[in-house]
Amino acid sequence: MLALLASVLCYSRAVYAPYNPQKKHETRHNHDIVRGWSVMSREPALESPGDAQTPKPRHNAVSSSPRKRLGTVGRWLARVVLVIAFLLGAVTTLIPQGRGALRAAMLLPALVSASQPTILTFNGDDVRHTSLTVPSQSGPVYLDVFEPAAPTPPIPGAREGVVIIPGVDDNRQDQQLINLVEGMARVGIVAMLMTTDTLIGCALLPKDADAVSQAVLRLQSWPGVGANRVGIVGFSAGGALASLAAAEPQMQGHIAFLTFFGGFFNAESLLQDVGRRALVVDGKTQPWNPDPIPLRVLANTISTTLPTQEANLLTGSCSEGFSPLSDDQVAQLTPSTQAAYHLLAGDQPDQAAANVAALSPEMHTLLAALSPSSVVQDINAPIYLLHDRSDIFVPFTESRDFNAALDRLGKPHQFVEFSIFQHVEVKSGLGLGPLLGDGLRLYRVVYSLLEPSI
Amino acid sequence: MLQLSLFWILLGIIFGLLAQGARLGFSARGVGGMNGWLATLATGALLSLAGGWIGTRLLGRLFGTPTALWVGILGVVVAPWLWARFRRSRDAAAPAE
Repeated sequence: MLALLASVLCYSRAVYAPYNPQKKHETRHNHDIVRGWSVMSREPALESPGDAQTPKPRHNAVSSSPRKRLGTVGRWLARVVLVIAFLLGAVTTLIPQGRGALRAAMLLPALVSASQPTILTFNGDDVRHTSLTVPSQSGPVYLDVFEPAAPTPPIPGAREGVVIIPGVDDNRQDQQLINLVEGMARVGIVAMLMTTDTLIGCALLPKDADAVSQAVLRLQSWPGVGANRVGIVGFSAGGALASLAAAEPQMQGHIAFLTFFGGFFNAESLLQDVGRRALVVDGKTQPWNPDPIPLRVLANTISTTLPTQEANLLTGSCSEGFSPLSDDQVAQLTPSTQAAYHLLAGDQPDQAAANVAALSPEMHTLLAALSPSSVVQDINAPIYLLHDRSDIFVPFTESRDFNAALDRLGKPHQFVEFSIFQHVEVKSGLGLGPLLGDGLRLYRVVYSLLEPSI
Repeated sequence: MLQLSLFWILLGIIFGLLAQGARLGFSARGVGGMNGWLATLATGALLSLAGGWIGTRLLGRLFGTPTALWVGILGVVVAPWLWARFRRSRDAAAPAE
């Protein structure tokens, strides 16, 4: 704008000069002398024959004129602005990587804030929302599809699709989540939120992996979506289901990417950290107090292997925060259920490993079946692991373990630790520093996710 | 799309002004007469609008504005140059006839 102002303010004489023979003449020669170059001097055909014979340089007067100097500065400033704007526009439209960079940059604010930036709502596509239900082996799968209202553009010809598993509980109306999926739709991605009755009931069961597969298959056949451009993003416990689905034989080679945000790698090690109320980070033990929600999810999940009375006692203790059972109630439980209870209660931190070992075979089987660690070798899609270091729902050490396993197996993956999130939601009142630092890391991941299908 | 179209026209006018300021417009090329500056602004507005629409159709709405950006700038710089070239060649050819 500065360039525009300066150049326009100082241009009035030059605009009209060419049409006054005297002025035109002076202007051209002044340019030649002051700058040694002039656009207008390249137009000999337009000059009158006598022009070149009557130079009146007056270069001293010109060079001493502040207005003239300002004009020269404004002229060059305007050229620089034009060149930069031209390059910016050309790179972000003509080059596929540039288009990916623009989309990632537009999507990023929706990820790190509770609102969509005006530039995205103004320039992005309008969003169409469709709700539907599809069957699966575990029951109905509730799908909410957010897609661009406009037809698929010829370049690149097909849209990317993302199945989002927002974890346990019914998060379909969560503002940050809606914000994210709408932001995705505005940059041209078809985003599908999925959940099941089990997830809404705050539990996690391996059979829900089929629900994820059904959602992926549905999105792969969605109008405008490229069948090989569908990825899965699993938030929190949703990451486990995403990995189980991606490891299924019919999904092999059909998933563009997997992203786990705040997920666990091994359900038993998660339960052990919960029981110990501590994490081992780089060989050092540090206290860790879990949120009541993961306790409830673990209780609900484990209770599916228990008789009704024991299940009610265990889930009842974790339903609203954590309510300790009385000694008599604990005595009614079988030894394996007592072990599970003590792990959830955190009242035997020194015996966490022993309590995990004391779980029933059914519990061990269930926890193993829910763990990405059991199927990691069967996953072929690129994996992106994101985790906040201060996560009180799932320890960030779980993602570190996942990362180490992927390193060992030589699978393509990226691992990023953040400090701006609380589990999977952005903290409020963050300073610019953390936002910029983590925002850049997040930008790289988002760009990588969009890059294969630019 | 109406708002976006108006925005692209505004962008084009700004580019026209910048091109005028940068001495790259029609009047700086010695063409367009007294209305050379107006021709530059109009060229910028029209080409930015066209670029925005083409970008939207080909790449999606998100890319309409960036396309309007470079098409508009290219227009306000190249169109006057081409027009001046055309006139020069026409003027040069005229005496031979």
